[in-house]
Amino acid sequence: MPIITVDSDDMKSLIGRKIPDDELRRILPLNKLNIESWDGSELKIEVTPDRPDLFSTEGMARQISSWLGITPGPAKFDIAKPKIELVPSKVSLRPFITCGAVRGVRMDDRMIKSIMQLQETLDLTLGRDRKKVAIGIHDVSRVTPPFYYKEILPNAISFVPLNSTKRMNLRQIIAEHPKGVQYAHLMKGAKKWPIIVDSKNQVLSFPPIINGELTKVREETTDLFIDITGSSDSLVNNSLNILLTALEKRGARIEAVSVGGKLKPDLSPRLMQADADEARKLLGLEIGNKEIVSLLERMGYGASIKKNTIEALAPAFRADIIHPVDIMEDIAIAYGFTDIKPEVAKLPSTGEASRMEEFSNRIRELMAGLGFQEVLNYVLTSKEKQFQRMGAKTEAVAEIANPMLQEYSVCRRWLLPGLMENLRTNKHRKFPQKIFEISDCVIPDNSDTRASSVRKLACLTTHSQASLSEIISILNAVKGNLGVKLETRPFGHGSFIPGRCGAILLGKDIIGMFGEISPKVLGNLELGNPVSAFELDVQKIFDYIVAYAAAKNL
Amino acid sequence: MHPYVQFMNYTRQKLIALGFREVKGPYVETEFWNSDSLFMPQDHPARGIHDIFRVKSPAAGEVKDKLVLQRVAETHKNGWTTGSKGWGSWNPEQTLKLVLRSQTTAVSARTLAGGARHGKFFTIDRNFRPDVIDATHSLEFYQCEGIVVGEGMNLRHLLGYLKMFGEEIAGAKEVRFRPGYFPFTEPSVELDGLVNGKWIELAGSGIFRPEVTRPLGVDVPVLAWGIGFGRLAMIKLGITDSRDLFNHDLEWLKNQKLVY
Repeated sequence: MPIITVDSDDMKSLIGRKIPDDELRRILPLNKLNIESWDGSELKIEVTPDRPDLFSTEGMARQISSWLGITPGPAKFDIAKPKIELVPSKVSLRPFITCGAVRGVRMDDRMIKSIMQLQETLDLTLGRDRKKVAIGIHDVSRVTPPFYYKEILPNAISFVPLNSTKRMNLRQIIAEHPKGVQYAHLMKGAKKWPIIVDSKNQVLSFPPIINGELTKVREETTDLFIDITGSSDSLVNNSLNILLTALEKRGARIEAVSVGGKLKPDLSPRLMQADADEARKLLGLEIGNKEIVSLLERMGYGASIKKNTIEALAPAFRADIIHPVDIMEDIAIAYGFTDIKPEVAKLPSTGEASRMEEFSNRIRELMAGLGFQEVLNYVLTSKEKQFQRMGAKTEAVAEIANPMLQEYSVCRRWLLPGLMENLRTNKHRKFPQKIFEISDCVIPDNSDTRASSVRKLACLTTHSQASLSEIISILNAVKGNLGVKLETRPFGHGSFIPGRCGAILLGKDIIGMFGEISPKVLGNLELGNPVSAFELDVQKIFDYIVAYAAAKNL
Repeated sequence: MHPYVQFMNYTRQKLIALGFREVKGPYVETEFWNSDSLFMPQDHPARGIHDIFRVKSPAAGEVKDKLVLQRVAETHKNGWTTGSKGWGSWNPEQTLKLVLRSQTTAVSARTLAGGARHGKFFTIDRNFRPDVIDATHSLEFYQCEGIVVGEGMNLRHLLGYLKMFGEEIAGAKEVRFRPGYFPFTEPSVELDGLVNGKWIELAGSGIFRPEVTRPLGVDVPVLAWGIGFGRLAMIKLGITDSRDLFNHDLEWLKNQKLVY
């Protein structure tokens, strides 16, 4: 979630009221603004992604000011008649463009920091790192409208990119300029690339890569032109609304821009209707219609109620209102989350444990009673640890496409390899060591997720005299209590000493094995003492018990 | 018993005593249950390769209930009959792709689709997210997730349950609520608790959006909450390094206090 840095003095002055620090500390979280840190006057605030209008000091101040009732109701934005025209044309990589202009901007440090942060955060989050939205801000004094948005061959034009002195064409920028290299992937698949030029063919920008040095915003700049390009009309225009209203909060005057014959921005509020009774019901709050209206006004809405239908006009910078429940949440926020009284629900229900978990708990108690210590291991492991290191044949596993480390690249099929590795870290601890794990493994199959979580039990004992007979007697102690008839027979498996290994059967199915671990495997893990172990598919036993009981009851 | 397992059982018993029924779900999930049925847009940043483990083999799963699949698809495209605008897009291949479950909310979605229309349900289980493994991060982590389904359930009831969990399970002396955000709930609530003299984040929660419940056939409100279980366990067990939740040092294990 984005962290926005704000100057608390700046914020207070934009809110328009002297708010003591602890009051601000109390108010911010009630407006979905969570304080990560507060150092002197530097506030770092975590903002939720549904409120991109709060990615700036200006947006936050507007919200707080509304909520406190200082400036409730819908904000009115004066938009001056257009003086700039942009002529769009087909651009396959970034089909949508919108533009805005502001006059009378006062460049001061705080404002620049806040607006740049807003631009970067919108590009990164809403814009999915410039893929869906990219914002360019220009000093409009050195270029002459009308402006043109089009796509051209990469060598067809060159310009001096921002903060540079060398003239480059688009291909060179992608190859050499740091922003070009960083965002080269966004040019993939297209022969022609986006460009914005003025009437004299001077370049304003090469979206989404970089602006030209020509339109660089300087300390003396007073008039800004904004271009926002991207993959959807609503996304680029929502971003424009957020940016322009933030600039307006700083005292700049918004001027319309004609984009393909349409005037932008459209800052008219958006209507969302909700049922007042439904709102009262969902929130559990006994609030009258008049109160609902005034609460919505404290969230910046224009609102009225006609025949129990709430007509809510959401501000143009709110892109997150897509369902009546979004209005209802805003009503609750305005009401004040600290003022909503928790209520104990009357919903009688019988609690019930998962029978598999209870079965597993009984097995845990059984193993503990036999002197074993439970361990817990990761599901993620490697093929090497699951098979090669254990001298076992490679079997099908669920494999990760994007592992962070090879060590954690597949899901375990069986538990013993994890237990053996636990012994390695306990080499210098006292002996005998008797450990077990009862937990889920992942087995590829034909279920809807093509791999099921399967409960298994594995245990081992290790000390200088660990033997096959020891593990057999432990297995017999466990078998007796499980309530199913399990048979054993001799078995061969690469992890165990030939002739000292057996399979465990439930009916005709092999559901486990036991034996003495082979010296080669002990060597792989640098273990000095013999190990005898068994592993059992608890899932199959449990499923069998359940099926048997169900069949009996029929 | 491993101390973390003891704490899991301690919490399970408390929830069962409060009338909750335990449910389970698979580690390998389709994007359908992990994210799409929860109305997360398919290009949501938390679904990218840095935030979720993609399973390359097996390649893709299926959604057995074709009606639910169709309704969720329509809801994403245009809101279907939920009253929403939807997200305006839907990729039917993406929803069948397999991931390692990143949130136990997937289990809640399955529980609702399985016919839960009245009652309380919970699960305590493992989830997976790409991350480094250090004192405060892990690839594998437990979440304690629950839902309350029933006619007339509202925001005040959600706060009531949250207060109860905070006090009963986390042992908080005091709780407080603030608005939050999850793609699948609205309103959303964050619960903080005063535990051992410090205010800490305990749970995220909310009322499932109609875009989540209606395609699953549910017409009553569903309260949902998720507790960061690892953090709670660390407090209860007196652990400061999250790697110790999976500690297998026999000497360490021998000296852990019983959890009750």
